[in-house]
Order: sequence, then C-alpha cells, then structure tokens
Amino acid sequence: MTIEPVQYTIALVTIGSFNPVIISPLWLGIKGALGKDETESATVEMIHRELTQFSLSWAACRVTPERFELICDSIAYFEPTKDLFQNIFNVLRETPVTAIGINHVTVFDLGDATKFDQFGKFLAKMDIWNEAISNSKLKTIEILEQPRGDKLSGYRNIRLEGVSNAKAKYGVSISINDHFDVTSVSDMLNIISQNWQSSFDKTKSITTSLWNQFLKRQ
Amino acid sequence: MEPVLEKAVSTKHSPRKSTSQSSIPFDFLNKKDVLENAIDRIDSGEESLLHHKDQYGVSSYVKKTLDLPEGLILNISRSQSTISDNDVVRWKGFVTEIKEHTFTSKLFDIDAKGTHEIGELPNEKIQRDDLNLLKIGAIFYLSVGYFYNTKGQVQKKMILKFQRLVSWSVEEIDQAVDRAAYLAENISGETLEWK
Repeated sequence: MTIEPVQYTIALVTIGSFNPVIISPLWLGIKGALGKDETESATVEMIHRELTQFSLSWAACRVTPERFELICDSIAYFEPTKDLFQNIFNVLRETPVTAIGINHVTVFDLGDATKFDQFGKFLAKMDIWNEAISNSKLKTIEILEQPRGDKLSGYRNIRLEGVSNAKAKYGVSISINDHFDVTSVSDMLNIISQNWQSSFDKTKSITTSLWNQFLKRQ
Repeated sequence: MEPVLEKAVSTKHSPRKSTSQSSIPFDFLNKKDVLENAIDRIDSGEESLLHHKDQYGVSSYVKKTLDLPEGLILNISRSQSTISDNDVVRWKGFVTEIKEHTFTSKLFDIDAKGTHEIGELPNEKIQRDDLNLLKIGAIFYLSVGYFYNTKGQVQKKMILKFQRLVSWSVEEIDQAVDRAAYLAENISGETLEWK
C-alpha cells in the first residue's frame, strides 16, 4: 500500500525588506512576467504600502514590508510559480533579503478514524499524559533539522497536524519548511535554481519514509 | 463504518468508455444494494479483486466483478485510493518545430528522470496569452492527469503553459554589452580593474 498526497501546495516565502505597493499584477504584466489575460483576470484584494494581496488563477501573492509569499496549490503550476518568483526578483535585484523558504504542504488521507488515531500514537507516546490529564490528544508535532543535512545554511522544519476537509476527512498535513539563509537576491536565486528539484525529492523521501515506517507497524 | 455512499463514492463513466455511455442504463445507480454490496466488499478487504488503476492512477471497479451492466465502469474514490495530485504527469518541453496547426517538442518528465520523448501537440491547446511565446526553443510545461477543481470535484485535464522570462531593459542590455566589450578589450592577462 502506498499513501499519496491528496493535496499539495507549494509556497515560496522570502524574508527581507519589500515595498508591497510595487508588486501588483499590472506591474508584473508590464514586466512581461504575466500575460495580458492573466494580468486582466487577476483578483486584486489589496494594494497598500503595508500589504499587497492578489491572486491569479493558479497562484496567490501576498507581500508585507517584511515578507513576500507566492503560493500555488496546483502541481501543474509549480514550475510557473518558480518562474514567476524568479522573474519578480530578477527585476527587484537590489531588494535586501535574508532568507528563502521552499515550503511544501502535503495532505494525506488516512481513510478512517482508527487509522488516524493509530498514526497519532505512532508519532507520539500519549500515555505519559494520562496521569495528569484526561482525554489527551495529539494536535501538532514539529521536528527541526538544524544544521541541515546538506550543510547549506538554514534549517528544515517539519510540522504534522491533523486536518479534515473535502479531500481528506481523516487527513494529516505534513508541512516541510525548507529554509535557506541568504545574503542577497542573487544568492537567493542561485539557491532556488540549485535546490528546487532536490527540495521536492527531499519532501518525497521524508513523507515516504514516514509512511513506510507507519505501515510496517500496522 | 463511514457513511460511505455519500462520502466516499462517486459514480461516473470512465472517460475511456464515453462512446458507449448512451447505451448504458443509468437506473442501477439508484440501486443502493448494488453499490453497498460493492462497498462492503471493498471495505472487507477484497479490493484487490476489484481494484483497477488506470494510467493516471484513478481507481476503478469493473462490471464483471460487481455484476453491473456491460461496459460500465464505476470510479469509486475510496479513501484508501483517492485521486491525488501525484496522478498528474508533468513534462518540461522545448519546442523544436512549428507547423501550421501543431508544434513538435522534446519532452522531459519532471518527476521521473530519464530520456526525453518527442511529442507533437496541437496549437489549439496553447493558452491565448502564450501564443506569442511559441517559438523554436521556447520552454513550456505540460501536465496531464486528474485535477481537483475548486469544488473538490475531479476533472481530467491537460494544462500547457509556456515559460515566461522577464526580458532585460534596453539600459540593462547596453550595460551588458559595454561590460562585455570592456572585458574583451582587457582580456590580455593583465590585472583587471572594475569600473
């Protein structure tokens, strides 16, 4: 049995100093990063000096003075999302940035309450709480890899959380924040180019390893 | 036991059987006992007998086993075999030839390393926005498979999107040309001083 994600979202998040007003669909269209139809059909929720937020049919963008996020939840558009991110920062070359995260959010459906509970017990020993409290339940768990296994500056944070939605009634969300420290936009773009695919590969290997170990103990 | 009929089961004809849809009686879909029987068998662990995955990983349960009308396939999205985003095949392509109604390309599987394939694709699949990007050497992304729409329904789709690269401004090109000329003039092996 293999367990595959029923939902996969990628978010490119960078920390630095941004001017949210600049980054709008119109500006992206003028720069050639978006087509005419994409520009015109973009839904702009806000363009303000403290927050810019808009969405395309395949991605959403949110910019504050300290944080830039580009999010895509359709696997068909993961590569265009990376291109759009690179295009934006190829233009905003002088932007001060300190970190970039290639963040993967995958949701798996465990199918039923029994298996969901078994997975919780697999992740953490809950009986240690029984003496002090009743009805203890695991809600989230976070694991940090620091320093990174690949020796790059940064860390990898893995967060597991129970979720229930239309795609997964007894779902587990596994969020992997592949975080890299960077010194400049140029550095950041190099990090993305060189680590994009390996970030996906690592995410796959983390989740596969987890599920394999869980299934073996069933 | 989950309320399986409502939550876990969707019934529809396989896209591959679309030509025979008109001859298939639909009343049986209302026969809960048939479906419940099928679901019971799946839940009791007999899924290996019923299970079929097509090339996109969509689970199907075939007529012969369930004793349903000829030619009918039930796509039963059980929780253990839900359609996932991994049921999408993605390629990165390079345009190698452009014809009147189609273009030829080299296609590289993004998720599975291997050799490339040659594919001919219809121009009509290109989004209107991307038509001006169709050139020899242009890069595009092609995804084929089953996708969830915003309502959580599954649709079979082919998504073709050309890569956009922000072009340099005239000033940036001029600067690059000047710098290249400077480097070319000073490539004698002496120490370079950056301006």
